[in-house]
Amino acid sequence: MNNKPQRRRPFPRSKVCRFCADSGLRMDYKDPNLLRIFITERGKIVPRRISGNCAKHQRQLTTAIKRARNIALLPFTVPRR
Amino acid sequence: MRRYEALIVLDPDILDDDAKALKEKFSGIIKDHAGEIIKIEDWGTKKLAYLVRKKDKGRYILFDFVSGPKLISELERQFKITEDVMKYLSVKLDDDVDLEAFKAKAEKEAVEAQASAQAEEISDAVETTEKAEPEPQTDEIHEENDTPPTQTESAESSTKEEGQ
Repeated sequence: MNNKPQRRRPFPRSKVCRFCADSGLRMDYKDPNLLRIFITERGKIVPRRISGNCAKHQRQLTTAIKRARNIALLPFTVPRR
Repeated sequence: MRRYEALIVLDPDILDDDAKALKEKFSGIIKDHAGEIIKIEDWGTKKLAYLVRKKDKGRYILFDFVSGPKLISELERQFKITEDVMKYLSVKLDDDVDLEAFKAKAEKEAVEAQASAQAEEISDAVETTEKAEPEPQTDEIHEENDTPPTQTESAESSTKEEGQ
C-alpha cells in the first residue's frame, strides 16, 4: 500500500499571454501556422492553464481555431494510425 | 454597410479558366447587390486538414468586401448551389464601415504600397532571382489588409472615449 500522494509532474507552462506580450501578433483563422501552436498533436485546443493565454485572447483563439477547422485549414481530430 | 470576408474552397481538379469564371461570377453577385469589393485573393491549391468530398486538396479563394447584410444570404445560397464550391465560410469583420472614408484610405495606401513595391522590385532585381519576388509581395498584401481594421478600431474607440 502506498498512501503517499503522488508528486505532480510539472508541465511546461508559459506564464505570460503571448498575444498580450506581443501586440503585433493578431489572431486570425486564416493563419493556421500560428494557431497550430495552440492545438495538441491530436488536434485539441490547448487549455488556458497550459498555454498561459489570458481569458480574452483564449476566447478569440477558440473562435479562430473553430473557424479554421470549418474551412479545413486545421483538423477537427487527428486520427490514430 | 458592413465589412465581410468570404473564404471558399474550390474543387482542386477544375481548370484555371473555370476558377476564374467562378471568381467573376461571385464578384458579379457582390457588385449586383451594391457591394464594394476590397480585394480578391487566390491562395492557390493547398492541402486540406481533412478529406472533403474524398479529396485532400482544395483551391482557396478569399473575397473581402463591404456590403449590406442581405448579400450574405444570397452569396451563401450561390455557394451552396455551385457544385465546385466544396466549402465556404463568411465572416463579418466590421459592423459599421463608412465606405467613402474607407475608399479614400485604401487609395492612399495603394499609392504608398505601389511606391514601396516599386522600390522593392528595384532592389529585388538587383539582388536576387525571380523566385524571391512573389513572397515579399504577398507579405505586403497581408500587412496592408491587417492594418486598416486596427486603425479604424482604435479611431472608433478613441472617439467614443472622447464622447464620454
